[in-house]
Amino acid sequence: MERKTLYVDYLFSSKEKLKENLNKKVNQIKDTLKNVERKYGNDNKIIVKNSAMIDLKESLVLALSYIAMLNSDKVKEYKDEVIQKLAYIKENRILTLDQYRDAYWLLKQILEL
Amino acid sequence: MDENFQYTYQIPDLKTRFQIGFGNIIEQIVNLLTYSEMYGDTETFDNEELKYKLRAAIAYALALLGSTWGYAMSVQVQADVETAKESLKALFSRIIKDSELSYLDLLDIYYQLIQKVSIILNYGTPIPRPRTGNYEIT
Repeated sequence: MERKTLYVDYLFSSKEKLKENLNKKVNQIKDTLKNVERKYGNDNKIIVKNSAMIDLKESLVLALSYIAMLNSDKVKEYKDEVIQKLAYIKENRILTLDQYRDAYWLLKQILEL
Repeated sequence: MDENFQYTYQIPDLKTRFQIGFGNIIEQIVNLLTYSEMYGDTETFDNEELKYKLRAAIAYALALLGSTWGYAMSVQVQADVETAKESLKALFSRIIKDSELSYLDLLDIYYQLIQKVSIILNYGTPIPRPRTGNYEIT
């Protein structure tokens, strides 16, 4: 299992490193989306949970840390959106395919900040 | 015991120790936010646990800022340290005083904590401040 030293390393080295790891996680989410769409089509009744959800939650927390490190006025709306999504997941635990895709696009936008 | 044996282990300085402590507690927070409530776990983690860990992280962050004393810093960085210190104190106080903090509020506190600490941590490698003044023991 990969050693979990991510945050110690990232927080004390650079936001570039944090971004790199976020990018890897977002690519995993993209693969998950592709696989689900290949298997089930675009059926929005499909719900996403368990390991795919853990990838998403981890990415959202990484994204929150990343935008905090950017320390820019431009990130406020992204911060609010990330926090809202994490709170929604905590409350509901599952997402529909559309909601999962929406979160993926949010993360993609954050990577472009 | 071999008399030629020499200890090579170095005790990390205070700042490094606080960095490690801060990093560890941040990891615990991230794990709590990421892995809880998955795989059919019916128990929802309560905000108290998150609050407790955030308080610990803020305390470490304050200690970390304090441990930068004695390092050469530009006037701008010194001002940033002072501002970050006041902000962290305010966050700590908010957690202690406000018993109604929601999950959204706590995520916001996490965000602010990382923001304040990263300002200080990204200023580069500190250089020990040259000793000046009178250190004579009388």
